[in-house]
Amino acid sequence: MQRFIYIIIILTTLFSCKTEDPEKEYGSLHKRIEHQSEHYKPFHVQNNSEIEYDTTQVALDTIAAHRFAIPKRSSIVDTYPCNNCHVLSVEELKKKGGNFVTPKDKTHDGVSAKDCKSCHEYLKKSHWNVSLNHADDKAMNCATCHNQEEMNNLVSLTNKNINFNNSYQVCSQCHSTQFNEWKNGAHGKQLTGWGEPKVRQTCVGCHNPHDPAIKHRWPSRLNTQMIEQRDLE
Amino acid sequence: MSNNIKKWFSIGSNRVEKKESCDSGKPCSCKSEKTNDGFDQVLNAPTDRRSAIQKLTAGLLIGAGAVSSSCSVSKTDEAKEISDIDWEEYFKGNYKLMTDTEKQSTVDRLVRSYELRNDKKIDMSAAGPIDDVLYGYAFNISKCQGYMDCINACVEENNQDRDSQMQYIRIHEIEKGEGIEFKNGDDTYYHEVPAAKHFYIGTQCYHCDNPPCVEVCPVQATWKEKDGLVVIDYDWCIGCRYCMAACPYDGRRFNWKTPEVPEEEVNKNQHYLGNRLRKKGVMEKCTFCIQRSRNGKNPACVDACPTGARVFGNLLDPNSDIRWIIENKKVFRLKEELGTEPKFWYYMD
Ligand code: SF4
Ligand code: SF4
Repeated sequence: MQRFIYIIIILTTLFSCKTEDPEKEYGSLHKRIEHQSEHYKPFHVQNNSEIEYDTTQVALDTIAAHRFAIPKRSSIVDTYPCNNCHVLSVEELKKKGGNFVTPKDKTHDGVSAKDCKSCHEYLKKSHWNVSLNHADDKAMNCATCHNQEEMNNLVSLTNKNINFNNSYQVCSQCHSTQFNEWKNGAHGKQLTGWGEPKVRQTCVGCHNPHDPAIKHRWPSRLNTQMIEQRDLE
Repeated sequence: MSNNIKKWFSIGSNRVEKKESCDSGKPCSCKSEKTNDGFDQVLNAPTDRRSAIQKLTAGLLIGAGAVSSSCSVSKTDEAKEISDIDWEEYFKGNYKLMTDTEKQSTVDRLVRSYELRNDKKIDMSAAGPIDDVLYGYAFNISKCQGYMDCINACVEENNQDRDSQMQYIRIHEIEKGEGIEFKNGDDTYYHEVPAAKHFYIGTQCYHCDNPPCVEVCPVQATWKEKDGLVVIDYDWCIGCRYCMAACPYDGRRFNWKTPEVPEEEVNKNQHYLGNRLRKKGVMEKCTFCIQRSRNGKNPACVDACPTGARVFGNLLDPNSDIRWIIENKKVFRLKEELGTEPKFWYYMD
């Protein structure tokens, strides 16, 4: 008797639950998305992250989809601006004695790079340990990306200055597929959330430009274990 | 719809049985004046003999508890307040049917109850769906390296039990060349990743647009919100696990024991339908971090992923990343032939 009642309940549930879902009228999710986004109004998120980004949106080209902001780079690199130390161009420094660094403050007026040791026993070295693990030396050396004349800038293949904040312009010269995916959002990462304004991580935010490959490492935890109710064919 | 009323009714009697484990009771007199909607739902429902008896018994039990607590002089004001809250919480209605004020007052009660019990403030929201928003998710199989930073972030964000194995996200390691065959996948790997000749794919609740899990719930404790999130009212769920059986994607997790979260690790930024602390014996699952997403943020897993394999966004925004991916990449969804319309797309570089 009880079983009979249950069957009836199940049957009535099955037939009465015919969905009055308004979404159903579209027939498919894609149609629904298409239709409902016709009158879409952007949702603005409050800036809920500490990331410093250019509020002037970066327009990579005129298509609206590509308007997004990127975080500043120069404020993260702690030795920027580079010409605090690298006053002269590499060429001139080489002529003067081969050391890349000449501090530009008053006390160092007239001092040449060769003379450091006469005053300083120990010299703090900066980024001396950078080794380049990015393509091979036929394709890349320091000068491929860093402007040797004006050290505060990066450089394009055709010797045009590129601001450190726009380093993606350097990367995109070779990695055009990734660049295309990045500017559309299929590569890289959104930083502040899904709404407007869109802020996207730049290439160097994830890839060390001197050693860009994503590394092998251990997982950060043990994965789940099969539990009894688990049944995923 | 008459059928539905009947369903809620039977819940009333079922929930009453659970009350036995709750010893707080309530000072007697005032309770019959309650205009609580849950109370109404229970009282106004058509009844049959069987459930009427059940309800009577349950009513007696509660009554007895209430008398004993009201007669004890030693009870402090706080204890009384706790039992008041418990009483009202116990007879509240289904969240889905509440008005906005009712939603807010249950949230306020829960916040107060936590404060009384733990002396700590939590911040719980009852925020509803944002207009013109339909959440969607994309997962780049070529990018995922199996690091599992997402799972850690998810466990912490969503106040999941720290010992059990019920994480909402699973990462499967599958050998290349075999297609996506979950039965050949390794879900328990622990070695340096990515392993040669293997790829990694994450699964979680896909927030189907046509969710079979919702249809089977006998008490309508789980439903799809206007912004596409499939949510659970943990206080209305009876733990029958029908939904788990109905989900074709292994999206749901049942907690067999009270989730244990060390007090200092509790995420205090909560949502009623999201990461608030759950009790034992209810269904849980990924909510696309409703407490974050309805605030404009990305889910915790998206933020935590170091490879950018996870993309979240508004499907109704024609300029969103997720829309570009769906329209321009080769995407697929799992078991598309079932017609569940998951809002979770996989793609490759
Ligand atoms: S994935 Fe499973 S639990 Fe999530 S909405 Fe779809 S059927 Fe329901
Ligand atoms: S376990 Fe699932 S089907 Fe059962 S009451 Fe809870 S949400 Fe509904």
